[in-house]
Amino acid sequence: MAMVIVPAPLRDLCGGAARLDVAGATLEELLRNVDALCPGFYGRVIENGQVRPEVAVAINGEAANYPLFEPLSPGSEVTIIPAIGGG
Amino acid sequence: MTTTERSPYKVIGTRPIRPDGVEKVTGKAQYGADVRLPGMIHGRLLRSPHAHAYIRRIDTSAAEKMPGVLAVLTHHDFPAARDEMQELGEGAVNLKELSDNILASDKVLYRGHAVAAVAALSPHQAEEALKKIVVEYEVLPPVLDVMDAMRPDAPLLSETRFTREMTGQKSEKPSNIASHLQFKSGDVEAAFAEADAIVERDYTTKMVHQGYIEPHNATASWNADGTITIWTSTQGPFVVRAQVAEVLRHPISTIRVIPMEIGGGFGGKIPIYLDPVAALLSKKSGRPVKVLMSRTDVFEASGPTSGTHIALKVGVKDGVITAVKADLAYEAGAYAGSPVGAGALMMLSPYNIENFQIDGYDVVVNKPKTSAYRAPGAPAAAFAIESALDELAHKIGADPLELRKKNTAREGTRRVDGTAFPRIGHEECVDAALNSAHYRSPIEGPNRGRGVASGYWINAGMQSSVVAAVNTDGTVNLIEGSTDIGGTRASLAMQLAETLGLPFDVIRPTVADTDSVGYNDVTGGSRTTFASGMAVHEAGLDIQRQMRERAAKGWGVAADAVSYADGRVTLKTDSETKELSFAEIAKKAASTGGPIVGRGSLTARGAGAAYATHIVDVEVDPDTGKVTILRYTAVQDVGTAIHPSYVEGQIQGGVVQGIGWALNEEYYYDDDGRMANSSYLDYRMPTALDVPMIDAVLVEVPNPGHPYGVRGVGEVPIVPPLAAIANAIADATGHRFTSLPMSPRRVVEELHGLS
Amino acid sequence: MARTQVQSRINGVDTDFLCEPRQSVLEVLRDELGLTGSKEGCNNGNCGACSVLLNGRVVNSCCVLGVELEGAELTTIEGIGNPDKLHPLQQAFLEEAALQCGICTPGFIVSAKALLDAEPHPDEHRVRFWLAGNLCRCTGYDKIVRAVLKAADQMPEKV
Repeated sequence: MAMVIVPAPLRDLCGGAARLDVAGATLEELLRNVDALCPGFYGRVIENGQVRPEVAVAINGEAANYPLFEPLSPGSEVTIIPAIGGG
Repeated sequence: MTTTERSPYKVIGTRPIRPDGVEKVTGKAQYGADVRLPGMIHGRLLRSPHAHAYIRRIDTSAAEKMPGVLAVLTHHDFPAARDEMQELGEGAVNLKELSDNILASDKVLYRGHAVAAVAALSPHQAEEALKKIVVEYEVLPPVLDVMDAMRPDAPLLSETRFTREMTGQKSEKPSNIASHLQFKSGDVEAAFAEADAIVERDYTTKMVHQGYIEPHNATASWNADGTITIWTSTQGPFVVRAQVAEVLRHPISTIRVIPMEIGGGFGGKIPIYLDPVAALLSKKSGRPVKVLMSRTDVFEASGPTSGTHIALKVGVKDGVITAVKADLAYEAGAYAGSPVGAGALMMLSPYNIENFQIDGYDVVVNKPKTSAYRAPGAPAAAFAIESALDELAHKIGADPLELRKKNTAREGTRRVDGTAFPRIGHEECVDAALNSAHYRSPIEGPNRGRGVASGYWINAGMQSSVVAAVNTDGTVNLIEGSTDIGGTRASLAMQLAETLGLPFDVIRPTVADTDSVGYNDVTGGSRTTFASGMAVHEAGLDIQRQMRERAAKGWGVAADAVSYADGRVTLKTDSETKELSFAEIAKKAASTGGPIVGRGSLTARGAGAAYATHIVDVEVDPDTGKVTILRYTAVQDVGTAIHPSYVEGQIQGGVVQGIGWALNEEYYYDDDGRMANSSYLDYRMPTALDVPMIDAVLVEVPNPGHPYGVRGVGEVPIVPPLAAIANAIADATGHRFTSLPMSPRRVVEELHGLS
Repeated sequence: MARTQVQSRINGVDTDFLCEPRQSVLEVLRDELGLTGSKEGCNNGNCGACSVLLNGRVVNSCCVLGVELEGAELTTIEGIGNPDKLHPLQQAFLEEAALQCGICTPGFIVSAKALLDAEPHPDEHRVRFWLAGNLCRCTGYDKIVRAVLKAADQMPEKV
């Protein structure tokens, strides 16, 4: 199980839940499983097989260009954050 | 100074002379503008005098007939761009906006927006020809300030821009607000209702520039075989390659980008401005073309960082920060993409706060498109929260550092996006500041005051790729693809020397072009010493393995029977010990299997966040408004300092940029959208005379995510200074400044109630 | 535009060149003579990256015309030290890590040399005052000032 932390604007999709414990060996699987609980969630994060340009996925707090097949270890925390650029 | 105990390393932590140093102190190092090629001609750009206008017609016929002119270019020469987002390096960009920002198509969105280009035999001939280009504009009212741009009746930069929500919803009407984001937790209103003390204020910062001394430049050759070679100063040659490929719709494999030495960037040399122009001018003229920006071009038409407006309310109860409500509005410039997301994500990261609601708005205005500037988005957010915390500390009678310590984030504290922090070093920074000689010293004298502030930056990992080739004389050529903006040849060579157990000076680092090394993300996000360092370590281990195999083969034993340490391969049996040095194995490579080459190629994870706490003493002259920095101490968790001098240098440089941002720097516009201070004289960055020595205190908490404990250090030093200085001025004068810059004029006006 | 012949002495070498009357010394150095160690940061005398010594005096080469070099003696960064024997300032800049990107470094070294030539043992404030015409955006000046003070320690007493 990984923990998905639902951003405030998407909580309506998830019955108000702020956190969800969901199974998933990869990011793709995890987000699909969240989508099953919260229909529409997947499309808010992924578009054309990629993380949407205006958001980023952070795994355990680290924002990175995670591919959808990024393996998730149990207990991982996944959050959806705004896209960030560094100087 | 450092607080390190005995180091386990031989090379890491020492301060050798950087490999590229002699070339740079003798004037021999080749920067972008130094490129000279046979047959090379010179390109210059015509820029819009208006901040907001439709382009109705461009007539270049007279310019084409001017002496020495070999090519003229407008947006019509660019291939049609697709209106879609694409990931091209550091963050996604809209391809049409990328193309339009390089040469405007139908509309100019800021003064300085390029509309045409000329290539001629000499720069002066090109400049004269520009004057002959006729552009008919239909001038529109500009909108220059973030709050004005958000008004429903504001002039629209684009009729087709709608406000995007994180839910994917779009606003019904077009808007200058490109997007809205939100972080929310707990019950903010209830927490405010129970608070002992509340501070509620609006904070503003002005658009400021990175200020790198080297203007943007690009030299391009459109070769006879259809390939393109580009020489340029950039933080990311692979990003240049990707963006040029998209703008010109040219195959990426036929573009070679040669990164020249780079004269500063701080995030501003990630986007491209001139490269496709130089390439197309070269195609049209059949000559290599060098294009340079002037200093005014750099101010008006590169990528500064956002002016901001932050409405903030903070509540405390029993010394605990219980509630924060923040609305952050950041100027994106002409196209969407301000760093408001980073500001919103990071502003509360030094603290553990249960109830908050943070809303962020990305807003377009008729100013240049912003780009990254050192910890993009974070300094303005920290200016707001760290100023408010200072005021709260005074209200409740707490020491401002003790308030920060009491509320500090620790391992397990949740960031505003909900993630639990791993091991972090904020509390250590606050403790080091509390225990510093500076903080324990008295601050005395009239008009003097002391301020403190903390800051956070997330740091990046991303992709790095290196190759290390062993020479027969026992030296190693390290081929890397991260442009060296401040000593990374040294910090990477030191990590390879450490891995191989060799002295520093046998490693010869070279920054290679895009044809000569694997893909590397930009030198940015405080990532190079961290991520490219991991790749270097991997390459070193690869060489170790090959060295063991060669030696073992010669001794007729299995490779796992031998060990590598301190630059030697050793075979120990009960009866004997055999040894071969690195140099001996290197010398015999030809007869033991050929060249020994190590490689490291990875996506780095585990960057770990950076924290800093700063202390500053100021003196304010109440008559002139001049603020003098008397003393400055910057405490930072740096992981492991590979080359402590360059770590200190990053901190000192970031602090002084922050001092400039706090006290003097701003884009000053007239009502028509003309920047009135687009020269160094009028923009007025700090000089040597404006600042004291900056005491950098390195707290070394090794980052578990890196083989040598490296943590990115470059960006966070610019986060605390704005608030630290405002807090010091408040301490000195009793007046709270909430708008930057705290320039002499503003200080006098506010202290004497003249504004 | 007609070009003028100019006779000068640059870094100890008699140097004749042709230039347009509108070309600055910086343009002549960089574009005509291939001496690219002097850098253009602003082209209006604000940043000091193009500092050179004109008859022993520091000037911003972007603000002097090439034709003004007639009969003049010019020293650029290329005329200070060499890889075999660096000037004490150059050595001190390396040892003190007084450069990051390095673009301002030639100007600082030229300017600081003029200071030490005239005043071998300046104090910190004097160094800061003298160098206020040279902008650096990377270092915060701390290590630059230390490097100049360190080089000053090695200067002989003025006779």
